[in-house]
Amino acid sequence: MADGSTQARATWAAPASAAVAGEDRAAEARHIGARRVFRSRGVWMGSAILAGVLAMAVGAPWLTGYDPMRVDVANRLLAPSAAHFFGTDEFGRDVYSLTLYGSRISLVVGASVMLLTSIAGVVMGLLAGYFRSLENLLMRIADGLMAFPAIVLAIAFMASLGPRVSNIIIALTIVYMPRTARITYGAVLVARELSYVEAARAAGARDVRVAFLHILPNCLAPLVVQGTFIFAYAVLAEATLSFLGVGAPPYIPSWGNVINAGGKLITEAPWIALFPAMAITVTGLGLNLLGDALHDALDPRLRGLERPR
Amino acid sequence: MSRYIARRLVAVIPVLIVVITVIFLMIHLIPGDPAAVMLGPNATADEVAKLRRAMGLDQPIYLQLLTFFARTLRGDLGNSYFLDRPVAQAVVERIEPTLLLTVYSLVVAVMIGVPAGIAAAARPNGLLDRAFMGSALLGVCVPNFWIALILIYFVAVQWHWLPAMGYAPLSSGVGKNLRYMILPALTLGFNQSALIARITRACMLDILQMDFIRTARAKGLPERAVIQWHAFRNALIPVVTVIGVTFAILIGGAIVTEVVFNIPGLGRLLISGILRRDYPVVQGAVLFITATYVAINLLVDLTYALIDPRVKHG
Repeated sequence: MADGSTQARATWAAPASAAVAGEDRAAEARHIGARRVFRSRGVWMGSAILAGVLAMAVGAPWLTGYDPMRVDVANRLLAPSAAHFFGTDEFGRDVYSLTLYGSRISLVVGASVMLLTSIAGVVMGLLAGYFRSLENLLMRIADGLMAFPAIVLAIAFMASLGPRVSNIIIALTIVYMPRTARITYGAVLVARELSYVEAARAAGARDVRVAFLHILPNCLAPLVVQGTFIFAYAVLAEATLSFLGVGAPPYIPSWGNVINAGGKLITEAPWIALFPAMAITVTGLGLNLLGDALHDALDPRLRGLERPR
Repeated sequence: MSRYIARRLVAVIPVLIVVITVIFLMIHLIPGDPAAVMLGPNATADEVAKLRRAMGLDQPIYLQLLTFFARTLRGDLGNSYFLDRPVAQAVVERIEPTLLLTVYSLVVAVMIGVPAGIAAAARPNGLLDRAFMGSALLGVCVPNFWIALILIYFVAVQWHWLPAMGYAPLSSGVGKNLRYMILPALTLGFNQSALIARITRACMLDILQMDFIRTARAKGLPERAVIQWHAFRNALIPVVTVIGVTFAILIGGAIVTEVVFNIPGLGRLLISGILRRDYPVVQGAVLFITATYVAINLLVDLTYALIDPRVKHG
């Protein structure tokens, strides 16, 4: 049963030396993981960047005096100045305000997609991994959905559902859910063979209890890492869909929409696209730093290879 | 080996069934009557009914699904009501620009990614490593439509070195075709080079810890020869796989790049299909892109098994 690939996956859930260890050993591994997370520089840097973006989104009304939707044709295409930090667009809207308010769409889409893919993916993965009768059906559906290039599937769903922010969340959740399901499924396959799960079952615990209370906690580390990356993909994908004109409706100040409008005026007013693009890049950087650092901190296989500080 | 190939081929069947079913369901996810949505608010009830019949929407759904499967397997992707011709024909006309863009981008991605990954791994945590991996991280985070706009702004608009947008078919000459494709290829290739660089570095670092590398160093080989002849050759196997996977990813990424640079490829066909609510075109383009993606991934897997005999026993 314990072939090479199973062993490799087992190290996600518990240290290799404790592949057949009890639940307290797994809990200890989680404790060590948590300590490493708090000591990681990348985790702090990534979190700091994200906190900054979150502050932008929440504090937007206090950080700018301009309404992002207010059209002011007399002041169109103004270069950055003290009155308009990031200049104005073709309708005279303040690009600084558009960038601040745009972070709301990106964060809402990113966080919702992360949360929904985690819930739906975990349920799908647990069902497929724990109930063998569902295994084939659910995993073949996941394979089929993963066979599409991600952005193409998202575009396809947006074509049918229509350009709305809620639809972007639905489309991206369907696109990324199978990835979370696959990770959960892999972890469950390993965990269901471990002796403490067998013990829980022998003690008369019901399937749902075993799946959610005994198996799920040991799949959390890879899921947290995956969730962070899905957040990053979703922010970028939302911007891409909106840029292509199939994401958020054009009147909503999302970063992709502003860049789309700014792209057409790149020769006359390059600042319109510049600042939202920088915002996307910085947000992506924060999430990727966080994801990479969590991955290094939570994956026991990398413990011996820690970089010298 | 033949058993592995057969197993891998059989595994594609359920994938294709799900793919075709999802693409079929696209039409039925449209809120309201798809025929009415396609024809717009000015269409008469007669016209809507006629289109419903032509698209088979008046049939029971299981029959529609079976017909869709049968048609798709015959290569019949339906008709475009706006382009007034079979979707398959419209797709075939758009393959050249997308294929060329993908191939050129792959060349760019490999030319940047592989040397950067090797140089980074040669001195882990050195200056080059930090610089390259920092850029690679940035490459993952920067939206590629933004890179496109920067390139257009500087190279085309400010310096007038290359055309900003458009496309010249290969039949008008390779040189002319390349002039239009350099900026799009750089845009798409740069993003993907980040992935190739990271994987190349990781593989090289793995290999550089192995005993045979220590032996090579111990017998006095210069570091350059160790990297070039001992480490890189062994790191090549996973890197080749990543290059194959990158090729598949590039096909999806080409959509955005084509729209920015106004290249008449499959991506533009897909997006203009959506904006015109020409759903058969959208379905056809998505199906073709996805089928190519699946086929390339399959080829990569088979090639991998050919290069690395451990895979087929795994």
